[in-house]
Amino acid sequence: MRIFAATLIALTTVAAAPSRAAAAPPSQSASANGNGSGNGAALDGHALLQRGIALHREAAYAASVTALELARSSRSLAAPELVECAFYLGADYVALGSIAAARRELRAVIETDPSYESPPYTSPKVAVVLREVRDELARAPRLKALPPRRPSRNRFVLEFDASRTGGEAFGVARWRWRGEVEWREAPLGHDGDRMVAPLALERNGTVEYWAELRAPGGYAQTGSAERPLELPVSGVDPLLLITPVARPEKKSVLKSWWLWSTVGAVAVTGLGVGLYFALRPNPSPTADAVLDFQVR
Amino acid sequence: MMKRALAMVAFLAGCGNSPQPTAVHMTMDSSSGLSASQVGSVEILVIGGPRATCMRAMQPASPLDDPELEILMHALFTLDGSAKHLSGVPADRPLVFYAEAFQGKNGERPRIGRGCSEGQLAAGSSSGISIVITASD
Repeated sequence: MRIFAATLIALTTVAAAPSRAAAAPPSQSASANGNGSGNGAALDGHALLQRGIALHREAAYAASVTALELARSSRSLAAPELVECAFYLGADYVALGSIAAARRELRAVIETDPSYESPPYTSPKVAVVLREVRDELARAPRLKALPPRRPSRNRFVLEFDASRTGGEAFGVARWRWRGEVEWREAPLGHDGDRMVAPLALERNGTVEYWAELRAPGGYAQTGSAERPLELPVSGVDPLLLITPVARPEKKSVLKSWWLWSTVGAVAVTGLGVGLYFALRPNPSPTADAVLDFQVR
Repeated sequence: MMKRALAMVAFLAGCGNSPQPTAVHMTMDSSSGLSASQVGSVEILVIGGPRATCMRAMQPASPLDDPELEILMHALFTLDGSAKHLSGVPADRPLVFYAEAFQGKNGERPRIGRGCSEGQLAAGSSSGISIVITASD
């Protein structure tokens, strides 16, 4: 039912935006007008954002979510508009009772603009969640990218400063050559106070990378798959990476580390799954309601 | 073992914990001048929390303005004369079913009426909730 209502509202929302056919969904109207090939390319993000904010103020929260999500997917919003969009999405989700979704949006707001101040007359419920998210982020771990080192011609070390981890941290740097699709992984190791990921590079070009870290204090990330950091690489000698091929040594399977590691991992996983099902709390009971409306 | 024996004795003695019938009562009465043909859609808020009562939910312009009321569920129904089904409602706790009526099919403001019912649903059951909607002030 909610999906039905949201779809109807989406249609009315899009119809309200200029330069679109009144009764067609966004993707259809985009192709019909020939304004772009993507689903959101032809949408007027600015108009949708204003529509979403207006719907929020009218307390039409579900409709507001639809309009704001469309605005964001249009990819035409500037950075401050994206922050505003995320804030009103968070406020909508608070009103709709989806607190996890609200926290996700408000977290994005504070991460992008740490000094963000909510608009006047913000609902007290929204203000409480925003304050909690702000406090949470103030205590959360941080991962800051430092300038990479180059110990030799073909070797680079990506360096990161990890703080407020609350204990031992683990992480991974993901990198690729510009133009590639797949990300490669380089585990983050500890080097004094810093976390490092060594790379052996075989050619020149631009390396794109980002890193994430998990620690007792929480999760931290620097860069992202959408907005990676960059490392220009030049002067690499491809011949330096040729290494002699080692002759494989015959070993008994029973002496192989991977066999016992696998056995151990399976045992630990089985134990974990068993404990999870044995100790998990019973889900909250639910029931169905059949609503009968009488108008007088 | 002891618990099972006690449970069996209690069950045989007619003290089994069978699901209780739902207690629902309407909070509004008399005609307000609103007719069913005027109502296009109804928005439902299922409200819980220690202070959730119809009296409290109806006090502000919207229960969403009261930070002490816990919104558990939210749904928008197009009114076509048939009863509407809402699944996954928290059971075995007092709930408030607050309804706002709108003229349009998509819940467009302004509100033209509202109503409220209190009730408690038994776990795993399907129970009827009747909400009387009267014209807004």
